[in-house]
Amino acid sequence: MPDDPRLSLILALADDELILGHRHSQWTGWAPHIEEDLAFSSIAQDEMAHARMLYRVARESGLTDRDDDALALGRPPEEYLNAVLCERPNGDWGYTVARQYLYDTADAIRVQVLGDSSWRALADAMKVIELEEKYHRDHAVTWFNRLAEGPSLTARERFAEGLTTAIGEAIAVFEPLSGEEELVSEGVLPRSNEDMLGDWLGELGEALEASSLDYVLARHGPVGEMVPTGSGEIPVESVDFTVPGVVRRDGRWMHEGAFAGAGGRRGRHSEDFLPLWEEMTALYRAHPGAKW
Amino acid sequence: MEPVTYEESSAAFKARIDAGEKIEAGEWMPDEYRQSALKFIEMHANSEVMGALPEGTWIPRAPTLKRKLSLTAKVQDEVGHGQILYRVAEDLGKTREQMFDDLVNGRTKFHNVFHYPAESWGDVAYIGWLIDGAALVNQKALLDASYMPYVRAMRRICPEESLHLRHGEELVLELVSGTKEQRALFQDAVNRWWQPTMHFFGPPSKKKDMLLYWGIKTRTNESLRQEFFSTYVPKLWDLGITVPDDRLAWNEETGEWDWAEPDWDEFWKVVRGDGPMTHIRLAQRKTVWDTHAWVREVFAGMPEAA
Repeated sequence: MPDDPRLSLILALADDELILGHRHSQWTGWAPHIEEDLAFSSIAQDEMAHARMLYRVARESGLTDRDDDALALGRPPEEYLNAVLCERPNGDWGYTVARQYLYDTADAIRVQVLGDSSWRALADAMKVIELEEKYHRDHAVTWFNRLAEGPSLTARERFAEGLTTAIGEAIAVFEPLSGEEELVSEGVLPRSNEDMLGDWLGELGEALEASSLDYVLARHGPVGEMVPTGSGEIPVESVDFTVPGVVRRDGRWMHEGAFAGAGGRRGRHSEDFLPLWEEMTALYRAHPGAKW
Repeated sequence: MEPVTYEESSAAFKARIDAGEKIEAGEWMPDEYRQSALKFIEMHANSEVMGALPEGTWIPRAPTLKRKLSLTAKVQDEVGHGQILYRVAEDLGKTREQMFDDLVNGRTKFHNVFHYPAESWGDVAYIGWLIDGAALVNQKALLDASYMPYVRAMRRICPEESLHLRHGEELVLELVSGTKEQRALFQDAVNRWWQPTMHFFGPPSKKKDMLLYWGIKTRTNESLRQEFFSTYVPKLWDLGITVPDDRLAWNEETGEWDWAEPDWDEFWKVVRGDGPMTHIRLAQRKTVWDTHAWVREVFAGMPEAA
């Protein structure tokens, strides 16, 4: 882990944008709809450009002597601090849009909070990023409404499946950083991740409830079904699929206890990260010092 | 006298084209003209979206952030050209959905060069400079085509392609002035891509080429290929890159480039849809198309069929 918690913070931010931008860009030329192909390519470019901007801030602030390419493409896998959510393969369009919705609504909160950071260079970068992230959020919300509100039931189900898959790991976008207490006390991170998570989950819960999609936060099932066996049909045991660490209390969804899918902020990744890393960095690593 | 028969109307239409008049979308046109224009523009559109794929495979592997960003933007432009061209084609009477469905099911064609794999970053540089260069030679000639909506599309597309060309040229210059391995990447790409590039211009045009007859195309395959030679071969030689054609030389007497005929059997094989990457790319496209029919439902705002 980086010694300076500021480096942990900025790498977490930049790596999220890089890795998710990388995933988004894999739809370029492949998206299931041509206008969407164009839109998603733009979002991918924005995210990757934000990563580059943040890597540069890290260097200009004296936290590292590595340039943006060395940071983006030249680190060993365990030094990447992105949330696991960002590294997952694109899956189908339902998962892709669900992840983009969850990520960009979460990112919006963090970007706004960091706009008030006592670390001036970071705050300035966040102000620039915020201008573009607004469009990502509009894109995500438009899709949310289209998919959740019909008229296609298949679309709603695909989206709900995507949300169900992504939600636990989306919560871990707010996994605490190493040295977070110090960052908060110095005003570098004006509000703790736990606080930001509370805001995000509250908003998310409201949006999901408004579309009757809050079941993705608390899935109990399959209740009441019958399973045929040799000795007749027996009721299926009810399985609790509630997302770990999420509860509804006093009319509001909130975080309590554990994180699912966490580890990214400590450089611990899923099985999907290594293949991504290999592909993304192979050419850069194969030709040290080359110009392209 | 007003034309009265179909033949007379067609003849009057042909006379307008020969006089350099432009045709607009809603106008009367001979069916042969409509079919030829649609087929040609549809193939152009297909080629833009299929052309996104070989280069697209290198977005995740780009060697720097700058290149990752610029390649994403470049491929995005190609998809955007596809979007523009499908719209032009749609006005001739075929829906985009049908065109895409025909494409993914192998019923329509796309340019031969997009049936090949992009094996290295050298290929990305080659495609960016010389495939885009070849395409630009073609597309500039289309600025003078008879179908005005197509001309307007070309007026939007050509400036972007010129930008791609500079992008490609920059990639090539970095490689040839880089390490030995980088230089070899580009030379290897030239060796593999030269023949498909020759194929790209097609065999020498037939005496009566429908597309030329109707002014949908304005120049013969051979004249376009010659322009490509004149523009790019001296540059390649200046860079110390070998072109894999022993006969390639400027002929003072004929005022043209001599060149060796490529393997046309290979060309026809690819045109028939049997290139090295044809089946894989179409199968992947078809998978996305088939498994995401629900996305199209959402866009169409149509309720699901029961």
